[in-house]
Amino acid sequence: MAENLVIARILLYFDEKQAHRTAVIRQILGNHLTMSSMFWGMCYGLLTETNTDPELGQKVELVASLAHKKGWLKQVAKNTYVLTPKGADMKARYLAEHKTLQNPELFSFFNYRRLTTLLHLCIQVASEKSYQQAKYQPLTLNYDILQLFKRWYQQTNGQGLDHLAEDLEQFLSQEDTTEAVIFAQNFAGYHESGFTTSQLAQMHQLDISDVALILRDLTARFIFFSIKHDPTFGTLFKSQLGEGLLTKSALKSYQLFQNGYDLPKVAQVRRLKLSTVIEHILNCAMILDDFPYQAFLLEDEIKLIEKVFQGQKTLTWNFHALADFKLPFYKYRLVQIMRIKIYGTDY
Amino acid sequence: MVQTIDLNAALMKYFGYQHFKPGQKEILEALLAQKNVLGILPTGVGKSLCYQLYGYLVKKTVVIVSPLISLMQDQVANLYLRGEKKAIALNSNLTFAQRREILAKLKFFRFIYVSPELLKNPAVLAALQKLDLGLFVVDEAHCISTWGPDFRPDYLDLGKIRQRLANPLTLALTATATLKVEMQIKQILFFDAQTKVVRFAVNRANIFLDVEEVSDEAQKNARLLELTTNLQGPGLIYFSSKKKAEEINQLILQKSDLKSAVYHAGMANEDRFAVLEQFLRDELDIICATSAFGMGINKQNIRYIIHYHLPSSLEDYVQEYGRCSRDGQKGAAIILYQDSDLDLQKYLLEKTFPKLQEITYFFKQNKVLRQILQENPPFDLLARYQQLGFTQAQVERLIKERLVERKQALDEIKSYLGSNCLRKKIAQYFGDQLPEQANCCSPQNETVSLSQLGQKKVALAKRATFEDYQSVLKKLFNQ
Repeated sequence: MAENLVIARILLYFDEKQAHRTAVIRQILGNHLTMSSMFWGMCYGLLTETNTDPELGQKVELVASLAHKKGWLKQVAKNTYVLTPKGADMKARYLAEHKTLQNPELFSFFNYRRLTTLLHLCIQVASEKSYQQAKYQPLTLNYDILQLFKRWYQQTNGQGLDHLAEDLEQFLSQEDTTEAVIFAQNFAGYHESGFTTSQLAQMHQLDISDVALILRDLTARFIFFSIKHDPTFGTLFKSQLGEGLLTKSALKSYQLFQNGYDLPKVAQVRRLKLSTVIEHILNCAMILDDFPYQAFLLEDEIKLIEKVFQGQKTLTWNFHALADFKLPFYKYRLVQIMRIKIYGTDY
Repeated sequence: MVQTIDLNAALMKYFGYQHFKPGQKEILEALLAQKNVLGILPTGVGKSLCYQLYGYLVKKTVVIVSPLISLMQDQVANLYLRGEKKAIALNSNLTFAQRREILAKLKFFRFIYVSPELLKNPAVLAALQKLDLGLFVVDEAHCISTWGPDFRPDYLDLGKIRQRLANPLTLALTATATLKVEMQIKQILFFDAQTKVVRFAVNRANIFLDVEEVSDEAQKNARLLELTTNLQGPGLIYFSSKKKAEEINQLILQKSDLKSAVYHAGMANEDRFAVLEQFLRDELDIICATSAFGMGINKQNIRYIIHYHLPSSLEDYVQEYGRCSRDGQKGAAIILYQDSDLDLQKYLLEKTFPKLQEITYFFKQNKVLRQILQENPPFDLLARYQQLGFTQAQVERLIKERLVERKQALDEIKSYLGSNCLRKKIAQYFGDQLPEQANCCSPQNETVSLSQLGQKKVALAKRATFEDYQSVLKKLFNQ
C-alpha cells in the first residue's frame, strides 16, 4: 500500500502533454540544481518543488520505472516520460485524497533536515526548562546544531525560548485540527518521548507518507511563522536561511550590470569568469519577473532566433540549428526564457 | 582501606550508587596504583563507570578510543543525561571546521571519545599531546586482535599512539576476550608484566539460554509471535537487515496488541530519539533492531533478547544478549533459526570482503581513481589498509586470514547451535570456569516451557495520548 502511494506521488512531477526527464526532477527535489536543470525545472513548472523531497529525489528513476510498469507513465525516451490517461487519473485521485505541501517554495531557502532537528531541540529545551530541568539527554548530538543553539541561547540571555509555547499555540490555531495535533505530538520534551512518523500514522489512521508530509509542511511553515512573528526566537532560524533559487552572487552581478557595467566588466570587477557571470544573468532571468531582456538581446538577434525556429515550440528548439550564426548560447537561452514566460510552454 | 572508603564515597557522590559491581573496584584500585589495566568484564557490569569515576577522582582528562560512532554517541548522551556536559565525540561525522573548533578548546573537555582512525590525524594527535592526560582508554579492546572476528586495522597502531602520548596510564576494556586475544591486546598496547588483568567470566547466570530450530520462516514468525505475546517484556529482537526489522515490526503490530517499534540507522534522528526514549520509559513492549542498537544504552530491565537472524560470532552474541536483564533478574536469550540462516550469514560474509580481483584492481589504480573507488565498499576497506601502509600482498594475506577467521566464527555459532549445553559451550570458548547452575539452558533438541524462559506477561502501563494540540502543548510546556 505504502509503496503504491510513493509510486503515485511521483506522478505529481509528470505531465500529460510535456515529457519530463527524471534527471531534472531528481535535481530539483534534491536541490542539486544546475542552470540547465533550473531552466527545465522552470519549463516543467516544478521550480517551486525545489528541495521538497530529497529522499524521493534519490530514487526517481526507480520509482518512475515502477510507475511505467503500472501503466501510469509512458516512456518517450531514456528516462523521459509522459503521464498516460490512467496515470493522469491516478494523479488526480492522489491530489484529491492525499496531503501535499502548502508552501513548497519555502523549502528552497533552507536545509529541511537540519532545521527540523534544530526546532525539535528548541522545543525539548523549552519543555525541560518549563519543568526546571537541566539534566536530560539532548535529542541530537550534532555538534554544529548544539553549538549554534548554545551561542544563540546565550545571546538571548536564556530568554529566546520564552514565547515558543505561545508561538506554537498561535500557529496551530490556524491549522487543521488533525494536522495540528499530529505536529504537536511529534515533539519530545520533559517526560514526553514524542511519537515517530509511523506511530502517528497508526494513531490517526493515516498513511505514513501523508503524516511525513504533514510534519514537513507544518515544520517549514512554523519556521517562517516564527521568523515573521517572534523577533527573538525567529532570529535563530533566520540566520540559517539560504538564498533560495536566486543566489546573492547572481543578484550582485545583475545589480552591477544595471549600474552600467557590461558583462566582461562585471566579471573583471568581481574577479569571476565571464561564464559564471553569464550563469548569474540566466539565474536572474529565470527567477525575476521583470527581467530586462532587451538589455541583453538586440531586436535583430531575437528576430533571427525566432525565424530559425519558426513553427517550432520553444521547448523543442535545438541550439545546434544556430551553428551558422555564431550566436552565444546564453542569448538563445534568454530568448527561450522570455518566450516561455510570456507565452507558456505550449507555444 | 582508605582508598576503599574514598572509592565508595566517590561512587555515591558521582553516580549515586552504594555498591560497586564485580570488577569495578579492582580496576579502580589498580588504576589508582598507577598500573595499566586490562578489564575483561561481562556486558552490563558498567565498564564505563570505571574510567568516568577515575576521571572525576584525578580531575584530569580521559581519552577513550571507541570503534563505533553510535557507541560513542550513546556514551556521550548518557553523560549529558547525568548532567556532565564536558564530553565530546571526535569522529568522521564532524566537518573539518567543526573538528578544528573542538581541537582548539580540547582542554575544556573532561571525556574525549575518539575514533581510532582520527587518533592518527596529526592535528588531533598534536592537540591530545598538549593535554595533561589522566587516562587513556581503549574501549572494545578485542578489536585489536587479528585473531578475533571484529578486528579493526586502525587498532593495530594504538600501542605506537600510546607511546606518542608519552605512555599515559591505560585501561583496555572488553566484554569478550579469549586467552589468545588477551595476549595480543597486551602485546599491541605494550603492556608490561605489571599490567593488571581483571577478568570475570562472561557467564550471565540470570539469563536463560535457548536455541530453537524452525522449519521455515512461517514457523519462525509464528514462534516469534508466541514468545512475544507470552513473555514479560520489554524485549529486543535483533535482525541482520533493516528491511526484515521493519517487516517483522509490522507483523507484530498487526497480529498482536504489543507496542512495538523499529530502530535502525535509516531512520530520521527525531524518530530514533522517540523510539529510544519510549523504550527507556517502558512505553514499548518490543524493539525490532539491527545489531548496532543499544551498544551503550543503559536499560536495566530488558527481559528477553531474540535473535531472528544468527549472530556473526560468539563474541557478538554475548555482547548482544548481554543487554538482557542487567538488573540481575531472570531473563532469556533466544535464537530462532532455520537451516538457510547459516547460508545467509555465509553469503553476507563473502559479500563483505573484497575478492582477489578487486584487491588487484584497486592497487593497480592511480591515486585519483583510488579516491573515487574508496567511496564504496569493499574498496573503502582496501583504502584503509593502504593508508595504514599495507602492501597488496599483505592485504591479500590479511583478507584471506580474516575470511578464514570469520568463517571459523560462524562455525563456532553452528557449534553453539548444536551444543548439548549452551552455557558450557560459551564458557569453554572464552576459557572460563563454569559452575553448575539450575535453569541453565535449552539446546535445540530440548523443548522449553515459557515459564523457563521468563515471567508471564503483564500489560504495559497506558501512555496518555491527547486528542487536541492544546492538551499536548499544555503538558509539554507545563501550563
